[in-house]
Amino acid sequence: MQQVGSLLVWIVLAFLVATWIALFARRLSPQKAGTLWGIVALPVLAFGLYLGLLWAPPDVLMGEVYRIMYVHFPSWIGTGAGYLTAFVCSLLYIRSRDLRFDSWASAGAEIGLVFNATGLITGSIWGRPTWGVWWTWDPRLTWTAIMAVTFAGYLVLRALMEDPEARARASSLVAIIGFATLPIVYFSVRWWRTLHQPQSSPETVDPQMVVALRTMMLAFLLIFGYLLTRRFALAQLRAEAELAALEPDELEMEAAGD
Amino acid sequence: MTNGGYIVAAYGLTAIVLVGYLLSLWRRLTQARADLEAPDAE
Repeated sequence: MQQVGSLLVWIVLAFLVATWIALFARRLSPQKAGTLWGIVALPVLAFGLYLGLLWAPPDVLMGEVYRIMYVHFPSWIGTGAGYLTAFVCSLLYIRSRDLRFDSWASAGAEIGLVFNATGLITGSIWGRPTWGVWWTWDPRLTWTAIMAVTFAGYLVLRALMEDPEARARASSLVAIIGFATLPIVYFSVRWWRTLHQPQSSPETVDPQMVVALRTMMLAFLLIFGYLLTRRFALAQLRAEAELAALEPDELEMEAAGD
Repeated sequence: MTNGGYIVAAYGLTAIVLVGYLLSLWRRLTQARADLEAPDAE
């Protein structure tokens, strides 16, 4: 089973890399890439759940409750992927002023926040039996909360601004500054004495746990990809609606301005 | 709560959040497409 799992991890990883390259090279539309990722995500998720919940051995210290890890850690992979998308696409928007990058950035931020929420929820549930508390103002947890509030603020800001160009400019700055919280969250367990454990290494973890965790991480990345493309499609539809709502004379003025 | 209870709560709440978001996204997409295709009220 371990060999099958390892092989599957490499095949799915190769598939993910190939489809992302095809997407960047414009050989694959976001819609088709999202559909492919969504279809592949279902069996990978089912297999990952089987590995994590039934096949991987219990932890020596925590027993069975450590299995929350298989949904907790992949949530942070989705969070990182979402906020990284928002950061990179905000930089690309500022450089090019192309509103498509703003659509990708807003999609990444929203989905990153959804995974941020599942990461906080599962972490809190895991904290109760292992630390004895649902929440504590530990540096890792506090910075994670600050990160979530920052990107929630990004979405609130976008909802409050009507002008597409001004909204894209302001929210890009928030995403770029907000992304600085991500490395702080990552390194917080090394920089400060925290209740949260530092990052584990595959060399110090049971190989069965590594395979189960990697499978779940890939499943969450595929789900992230599916959600990202659908949220991008929504942003594009809204941009079309905003353009259609502009009066013809406003369009003429904009064209004259260009 | 037992260990099993914590595991069920963590997986269950994650599923609720992700499926809830997915359904909300599909609903918003359907609405946005309908709004674009609808004839102008004016």
